[in-house]
Amino acid sequence: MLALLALHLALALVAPAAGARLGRNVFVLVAIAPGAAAVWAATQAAAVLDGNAPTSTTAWVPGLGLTLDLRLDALALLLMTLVSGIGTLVFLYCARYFPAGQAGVGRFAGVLTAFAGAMLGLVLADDLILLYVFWELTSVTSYLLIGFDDEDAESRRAAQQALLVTAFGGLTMLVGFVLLAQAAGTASLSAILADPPRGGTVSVALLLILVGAFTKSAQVPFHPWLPSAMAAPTPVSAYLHAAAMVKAGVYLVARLAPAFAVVAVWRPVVLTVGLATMVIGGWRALRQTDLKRLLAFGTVSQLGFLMVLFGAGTREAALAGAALLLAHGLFKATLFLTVGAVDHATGTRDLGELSGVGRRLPVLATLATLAALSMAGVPPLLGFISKEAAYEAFLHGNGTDRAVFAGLFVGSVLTAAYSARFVWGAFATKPDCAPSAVQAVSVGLIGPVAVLGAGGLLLGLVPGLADPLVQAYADSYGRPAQVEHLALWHGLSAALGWSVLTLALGAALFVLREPVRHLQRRSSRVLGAVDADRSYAATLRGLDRLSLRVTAVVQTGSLPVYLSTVLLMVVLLPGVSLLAGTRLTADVQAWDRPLQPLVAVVIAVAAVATALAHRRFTAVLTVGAVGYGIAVLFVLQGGPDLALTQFLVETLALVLFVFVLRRLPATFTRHRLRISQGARLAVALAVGAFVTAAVLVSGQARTAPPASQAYLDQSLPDAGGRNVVNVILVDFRGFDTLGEITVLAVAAMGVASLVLAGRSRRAARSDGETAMTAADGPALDAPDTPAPEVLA
Amino acid sequence: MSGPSPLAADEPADRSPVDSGAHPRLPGAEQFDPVRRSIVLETTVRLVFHTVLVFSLYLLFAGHNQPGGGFVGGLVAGCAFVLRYIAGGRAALQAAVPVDPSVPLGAGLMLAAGTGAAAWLFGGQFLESAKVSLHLPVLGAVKVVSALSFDLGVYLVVVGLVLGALRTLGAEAER
Repeated sequence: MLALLALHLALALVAPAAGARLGRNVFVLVAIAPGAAAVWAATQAAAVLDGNAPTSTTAWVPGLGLTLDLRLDALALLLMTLVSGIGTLVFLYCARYFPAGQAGVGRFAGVLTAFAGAMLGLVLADDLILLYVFWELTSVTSYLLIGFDDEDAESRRAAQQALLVTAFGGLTMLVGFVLLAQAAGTASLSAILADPPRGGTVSVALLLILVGAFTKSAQVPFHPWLPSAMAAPTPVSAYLHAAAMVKAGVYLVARLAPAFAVVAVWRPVVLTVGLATMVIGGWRALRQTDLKRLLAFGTVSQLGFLMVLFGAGTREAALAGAALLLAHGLFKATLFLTVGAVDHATGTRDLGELSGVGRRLPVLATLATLAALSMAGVPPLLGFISKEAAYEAFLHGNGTDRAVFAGLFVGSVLTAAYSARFVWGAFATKPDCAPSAVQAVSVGLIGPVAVLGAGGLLLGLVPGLADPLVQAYADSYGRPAQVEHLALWHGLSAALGWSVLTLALGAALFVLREPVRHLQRRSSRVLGAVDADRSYAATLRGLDRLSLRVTAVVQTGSLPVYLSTVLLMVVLLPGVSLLAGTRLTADVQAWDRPLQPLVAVVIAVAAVATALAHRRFTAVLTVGAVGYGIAVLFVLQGGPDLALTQFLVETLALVLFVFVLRRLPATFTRHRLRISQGARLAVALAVGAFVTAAVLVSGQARTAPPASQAYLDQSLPDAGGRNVVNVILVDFRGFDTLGEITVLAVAAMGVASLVLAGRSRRAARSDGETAMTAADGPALDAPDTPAPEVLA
Repeated sequence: MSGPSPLAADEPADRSPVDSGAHPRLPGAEQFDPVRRSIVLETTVRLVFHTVLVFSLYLLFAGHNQPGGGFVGGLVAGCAFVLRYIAGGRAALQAAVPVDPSVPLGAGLMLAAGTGAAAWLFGGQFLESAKVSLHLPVLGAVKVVSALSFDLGVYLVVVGLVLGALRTLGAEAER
């Protein structure tokens, strides 16, 4: 399994280079990855259905207990059929969808392959953290896919919206995962499901995880990103919205429901959100004029349907859900790819401009009609079987089940209506519309559509093909004595009657589309205030405003305020804990040598003089005196290395200070300070007292033998040096030194760029017109400079 | 522009206080503001510059057993360049070190990290040090520790830092 993921990654990395050479045929190359995954899944199917899930475990970060645990069970196999099976067809479709000379096609193929790999990893992951990693990878790659047309503002907005919404959900979900893993004592998914933890923490964790699932699967109120994402190229829509991305949330719910549906918070939340999504999505789909957006809202609706079925937590509902998952993958991919082909042939996706397309593209029209019939739930297609099973699951239960059934019924009526609207919009001959000019559609585009459409028909006619797989997932709820198999004909049941009624009402809604349109327009005027897309925009604007306000409060630009804040924190946090938990003994030796207090007095005088200084230059000199004084203390203590370093650093710092001082006013400014002199004095005294106390206490707080003795002992035998300070720097703690010189190098470059940036800004202000050249060139301001004085 | 050759130090210093450039006391100093030039300073710097540099190298090599080391050595070398800069301005510094400060910075980092990585080649841990005893013709038995090249990297980075600060801050102040 790991090899399959590696194959996806490898092909994703190769694709950009290969795309430059192969052009759009690069998709055939990268299709190897999902193709291999699909073939492998098929070979494993028998074992999986017998209950022997193949697993693979690879160490990842042993120190953190992270492992690459992969597991192919029935649900994963079901999803893999969609992700890799439909994925392969979409990849092949891409090879003919993009025009031959399309730019950036290699990059696109690479990202698409990476996305397919991430999705595959998501369904195979058997570890919560690993699942989360793949989850976010799909968010990131889908961001790149949706924003493929990066010169189009709408694409960028749609990509950003998808990323923000799904990443928000993903982060929320991560918190839930961590809580769940803590409660269970393990991050292993199969272990958690086998022995699910219970309690208040778990309820909170589940709610957080559901937020993640809802955002990913475009549930109300997070749904607007999905219709917006229609800005992506059509094959991406087909793949992301039929087979992959949006199924991730549904997958997670399906994965967790067998263990957690009995938790009190689960059913009300999932069922309410799912039903609301199903009805709202269907209602919105009815008023779309863009075929792709119509399908997108249809997807939203169907995702709500799936959410209800998988979240209900009963065997019958799960059976229906698994069948619908398969059916939806097949018919929605077919329909999206059809829209792509129609768009190719006519140059438009607006159903008001399309007329007579069905007569010109009969094969495509037949395939799309089959898929739409499956979506509407017409026999003998897989969509009918799954809806029938769903009705059956909720028809015979208590009051809650009846309420859910009512919601499903309304949603299904709307689904039937927009399915009819789709076929009519795409292929019908409309009397009030000029016939569209239709170009021929290549076999490469129709082929994948035909395979997908035929799949839906075949599984509908012979439901026994899909039955074992679907049953195997439903068995996670236990296997009853009397197993209800998927079948076309269950006899004259109540569910059949409701199915007929659904289709009849759906047809009526379609026929009465003019009155419905008026009703929609009137309702949208009332409901406009709670439009989810507008709330999203308002939220973003609010965040922008908030960050501006916070910045204005926090970043005042006043150096004294910044310094006081930092110093006060130092005094308050460690200082208070110091006061609270310290036992300072009287065992403090004032000095070792009589010269030391003398030097200390000099240092103190210099420090006070610094604080009192009016001229900047005086202050720098007295600060230097403090530094030299400390160096003298080092000498007295017997640390020549330290003393030498201190002297040199002090000298160089003094010189650099002088350079800077030449550009500054000679005296300190005394006016317009935000903090009064007294307050600053208080802060300074507090910091001084704290540091003194900290030094005294830490000197007495030793509980373990000092490390220095070991260094002294090992310096000569281990590192061959008698200067233990140097040996520590270059050998014992060499890693630290490497880090420090890296910081030095970065600081040097930072100083250079800051100074140069300030210089070009000033040049721009003073030179006006000529500023541009001054700011651009490395020659800067010095005509006498022989070489550019820039730290590159 | 070339660096100061060792021979240049032996030439007699020009005695005129304001030198127009035929025999510069300090290479590059002729481009300095004539009012701010000081014959005493220029001559002194010319005398001590190389001594200070040699001292910095001594600190670098002696550091493993006596006070010193790459950091201190680099700072001393930095002081030598500061002297040169104070006496002769940017051009004098440029004449002494005709490379961009990023060269010693980068070379030092590469050397230090490379020394650490080289230990891998010999099957050791990153930054693990090795001792080699050599018999050189003049110096006799010399013990070399691989940490020396690490220290040389530190030395170069510090020199690069000082040079960079002189060029940017100093040049900024000179305007």
